[in-house]
Amino acid sequence: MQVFKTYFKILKKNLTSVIIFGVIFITITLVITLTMFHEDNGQFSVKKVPTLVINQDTDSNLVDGFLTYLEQYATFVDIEEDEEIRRDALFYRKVLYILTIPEGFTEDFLAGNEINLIKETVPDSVEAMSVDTAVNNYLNTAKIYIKHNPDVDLNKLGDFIQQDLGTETKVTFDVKQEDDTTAAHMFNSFYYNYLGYIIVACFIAGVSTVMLSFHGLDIRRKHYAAPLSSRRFNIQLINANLAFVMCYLLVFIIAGYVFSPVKLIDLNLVFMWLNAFVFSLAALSISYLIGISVKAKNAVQALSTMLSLSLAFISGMFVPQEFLGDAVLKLASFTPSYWYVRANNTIAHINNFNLDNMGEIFGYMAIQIGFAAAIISIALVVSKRKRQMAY
Amino acid sequence: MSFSLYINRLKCHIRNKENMFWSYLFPIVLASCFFFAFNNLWTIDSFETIKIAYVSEMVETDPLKQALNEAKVSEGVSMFSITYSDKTKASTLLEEGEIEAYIVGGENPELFVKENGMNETIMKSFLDNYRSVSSTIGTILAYNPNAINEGLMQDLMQTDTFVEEQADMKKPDAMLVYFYALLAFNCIFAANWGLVEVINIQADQSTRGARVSVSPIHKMKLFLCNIAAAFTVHTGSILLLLFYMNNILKINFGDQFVLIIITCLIGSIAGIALGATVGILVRKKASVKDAILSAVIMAGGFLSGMMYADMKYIIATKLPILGFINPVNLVADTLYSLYYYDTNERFYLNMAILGLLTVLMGAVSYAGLRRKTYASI
Repeated sequence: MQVFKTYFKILKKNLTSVIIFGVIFITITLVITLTMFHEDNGQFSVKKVPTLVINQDTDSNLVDGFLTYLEQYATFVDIEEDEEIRRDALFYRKVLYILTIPEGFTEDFLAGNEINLIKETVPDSVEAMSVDTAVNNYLNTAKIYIKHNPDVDLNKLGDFIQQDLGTETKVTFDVKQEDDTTAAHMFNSFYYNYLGYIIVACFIAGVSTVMLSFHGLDIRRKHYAAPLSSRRFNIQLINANLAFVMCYLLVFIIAGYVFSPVKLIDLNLVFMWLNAFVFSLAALSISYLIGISVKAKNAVQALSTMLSLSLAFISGMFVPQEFLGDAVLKLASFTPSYWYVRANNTIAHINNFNLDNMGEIFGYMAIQIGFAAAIISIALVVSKRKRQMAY
Repeated sequence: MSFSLYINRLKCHIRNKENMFWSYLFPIVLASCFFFAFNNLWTIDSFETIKIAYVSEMVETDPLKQALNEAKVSEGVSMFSITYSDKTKASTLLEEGEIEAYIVGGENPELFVKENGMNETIMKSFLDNYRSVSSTIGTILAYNPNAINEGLMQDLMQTDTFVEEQADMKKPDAMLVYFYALLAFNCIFAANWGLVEVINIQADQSTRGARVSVSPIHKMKLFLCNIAAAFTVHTGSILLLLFYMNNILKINFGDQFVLIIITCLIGSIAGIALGATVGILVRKKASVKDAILSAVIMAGGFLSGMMYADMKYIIATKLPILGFINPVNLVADTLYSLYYYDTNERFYLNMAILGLLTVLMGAVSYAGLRRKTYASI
């Protein structure tokens, strides 16, 4: 037990830094989770996009009808017509879409000439796409009316199109569970996905802080002279690490529960805990490997930042996996974090647990354990080599 | 004399191979991962057929059923794979995750989903479109029964785009927020070098500090030489990163390259000053200083949008003062303004604030370091 006890003695001396790390990362995670959670509260709704319309054309019936229609998708914002101020507004997202109706638009459009509206947007944003679609739908329909029914009254045109486009398909959420449950699942999936990031960051920083002390050359030589086998030494060290990260994880889990707006413990959450536990093993094995092989302190710092952020980005902790490209996901599937996130997402979407979906989740967990085992074996080999060479 | 101090300290850094390796490699790997993650972000190339169920109410002719069947993503790949069933069965299938949604047909088709997602949105647009097209056909045919022979169907199939991008517009790209924040974060990461130098010069912090303080050299002179060496090494890594991002990853930095390099250099100096200040103000052991510094830099990166781009906008609109005292954000914002604006006002404003912060931190460090003597350590 000496090694085990020594580990905690050293840890106690470094407790302040461990706590600082934990607090900063948990704050970051909670801020992001809560922001994202409020953004998307599970309702199927069209968000109105703040839009600035600059009408350089005359007020025609066509433009009026068009703007009336557009108002269903956009809130019109009034901003001074100064280029710099407009750019600022777009930069700080006070408006997401600036639509310019050029001079002579009505005339050209009615004559069937090719003429386009001009936009300035935040590119590739969902909001910009939604306004694009609305604009195109309206004008395409208008074009068809004008072509096939040239006598159409422009006053009526607006009504016709409104009637065609205005009726939305009814979308119903067919879920046999309370809103609270859905909300809880969503919060937990955000929180636990982000937790993957802090687990890696905090564990590497924390574990290697302590491990550094075990790896001074003189200390190691002293250990080797002691009547304690390398195996038992490593087992004690690993157990101590395990005990440490489990406490850490427990704090994260409690924090997640305390700050969750929907306090609900169900089987889904329990599975997420289990998944986080399994991922902790993988993260611990990585930390252990780094702890025994990297000596420079600055390097550990750089490594923990690099590994945690890289893994988080490629395996879908920050950006949902469905948005990532195939190649990235292939690459990510060689990391335990990918399987962690995948398991989390699967758990969040389960309403009824059965053998099939539980089997799937356990499969993902098994892969993570496989990674942990592989990495810890490498660590043991490294440790053995170091002992043989005693350098 | 100063020069040889500088050279020796530089050698010290360069010979610490492990440290050099990670300091240079770390930003490159991180930038690559950002690149991999975002490069593919909005191009959904791997669209898969959506599994749905269809609950039909009319038996004979059902145009919606036909439309669903005929919808294709690309040649040979259908948009939907459809199971026909009754409502109860469809509901069960949905719950078990066998299908992603089900549609109840009829005059007003209704979509039943389990969650809000990409595929759900696609299906809703499909149905919206279907409804509006049917409605248009009805109205037009009422006025002009002959339209169907005049190519109404073809015209309905053909959809044009009526909006175009403003020419020569630099776009406020969300992806760039991440990359600029990353570069800024790496500049401010110089703080770790600053912290090491402060620890190395303080007699009560390290044995080297104790040795240096009994040597007959002016401490400030040595400190500045050491800082200069650290700055040199760190600048190397920043320039490498900049080169990598600009030439290999092809991240758009705009065209004011000299100003960008100046921004990065001032950012690095600010970072070193930040590290020195934390090292002097926090009167605790080295590991605690380390942790506090890391926390400060991490929070800085987070608040300037490195992990979640929207954070930058939230800060800019809700709490702008935080954006102005956060060095990571100042550097990131400057890079952004160089890319986005045609004028350089914002560049000068940000750099002035950052310069002021640096001078302030430098003064604090100086005040904390000078004229320290110890009776015993």
